[in-house]
Amino acid sequence: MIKTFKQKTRLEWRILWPIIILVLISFLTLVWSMGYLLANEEFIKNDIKSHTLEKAIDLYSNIINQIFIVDIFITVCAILLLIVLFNYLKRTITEPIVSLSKATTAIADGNFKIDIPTPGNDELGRLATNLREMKDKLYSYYQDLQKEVKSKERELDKSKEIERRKDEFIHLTSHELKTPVTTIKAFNQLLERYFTEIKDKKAMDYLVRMDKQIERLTRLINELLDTSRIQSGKLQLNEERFPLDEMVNETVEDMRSIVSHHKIILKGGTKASVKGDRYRLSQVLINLLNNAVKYSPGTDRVVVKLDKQDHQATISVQDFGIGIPKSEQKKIFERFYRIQNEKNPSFPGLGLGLYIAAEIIKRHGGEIGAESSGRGSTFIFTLPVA
Amino acid sequence: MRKKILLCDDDEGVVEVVKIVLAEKGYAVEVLYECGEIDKQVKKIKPDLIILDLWIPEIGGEQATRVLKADPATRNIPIIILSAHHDTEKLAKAVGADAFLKKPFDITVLENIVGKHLR
Repeated sequence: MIKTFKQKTRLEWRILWPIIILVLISFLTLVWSMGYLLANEEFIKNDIKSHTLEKAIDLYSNIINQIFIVDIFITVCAILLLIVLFNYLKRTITEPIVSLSKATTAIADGNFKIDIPTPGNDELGRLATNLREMKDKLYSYYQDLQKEVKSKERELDKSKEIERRKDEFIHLTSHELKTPVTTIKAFNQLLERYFTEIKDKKAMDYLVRMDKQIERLTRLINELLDTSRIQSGKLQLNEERFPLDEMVNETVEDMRSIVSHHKIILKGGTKASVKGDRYRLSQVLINLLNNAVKYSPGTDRVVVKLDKQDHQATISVQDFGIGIPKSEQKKIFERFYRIQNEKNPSFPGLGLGLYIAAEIIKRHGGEIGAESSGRGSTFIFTLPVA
Repeated sequence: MRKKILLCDDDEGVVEVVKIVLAEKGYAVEVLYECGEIDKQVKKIKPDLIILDLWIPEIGGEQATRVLKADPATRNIPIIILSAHHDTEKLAKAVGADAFLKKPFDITVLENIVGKHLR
């Protein structure tokens, strides 16, 4: 009990002591009234005994009046004291709480400039001090955060600028590299015509070789541009619904006219339509066919198979060439990855074709993979049927 | 009378080779290296066909095509868009060009497209 009494906080004391004073005043008033009445009891009794009843009544009324006046006086004083105490409690408790409440609302609204007054060194005072410290820390974090946001914004602007320059680079490269290639290719074809007319076979042979190199250069430029587009998320697909077999047939037919040492055999069919970029999907097949031919020197055929199961079309390209070691079958779809083969150390290329093909198939909601068991390899890609 | 073709391209190499290919086919070729005031130039030259590079200086091939296709006096002249952009076909269609030719091109394809639109 004593312990609890001692444990009272300053704030509780502040509320408690006016109550104690009021209780004390009431108690003292009661004690005094009773005491005064008891002190005059003997006189009243004597008057009653000596049959001076009127005198006794007078005396009694007199005493009651005196007690009444004193009680009234004490009550008025108590009321005045209550008003003073109310104002005191208002000033020391209610007003600081209201002002702290306003301050927290302002802080919640992000106004860190608000002044928090310290009402005293009691709990409210400590609360105000803690709140001020909290506000200052919060403000400091807020400022740090603002600085961080601004710096990130600057970084973002910078990366946007880099992206813009990269785009510009793609366009510029596209234009600046392809334009001279256009001229070389056209003059080469004019020369081919001329030497065909004058029947110079040796010159014709050289020009055909040159034409192949021009095609290779064009392909490399396109691969670099596509990779840049993929890297910057700018590879756009022109989607349309088209018959898959038709696209595969056309692509195989085109490739047959270019490939000289291999027979491209087309098997099966899907009779399905797919939704996608016809040009890009054809590009994937061209790439797989080019690889099949490139990595199967000394063989004479490449097999393209078309199949459909449920809502999925499968296209596979099989060659009977050098194959892919098991450990490298997944890596071949990585950017700039090229198969290291001790037997056949040099196969030209940048290692971008399969990376681009995989990205195109992925963007169409399909899958691409490779299988190889010793002799030759099979590349398979799937496409959802539209 | 020889058919007149207007070629708008800023690359000397491309201009040279296209001029040779088309001249050998018997066409008269006029060249513009930039397409500022293209509508006035076209009205003056009066070509039967226009080959426009997409990256031609001043207003560019896209805008030039729009201008020419909006003018009743030049609307009916076939326009072939020439570009290294992989989406040339889409761009050409978008601006209302009659055909497109992607760089680098086969000279046979150039001859065929021109022939087809001058028939």
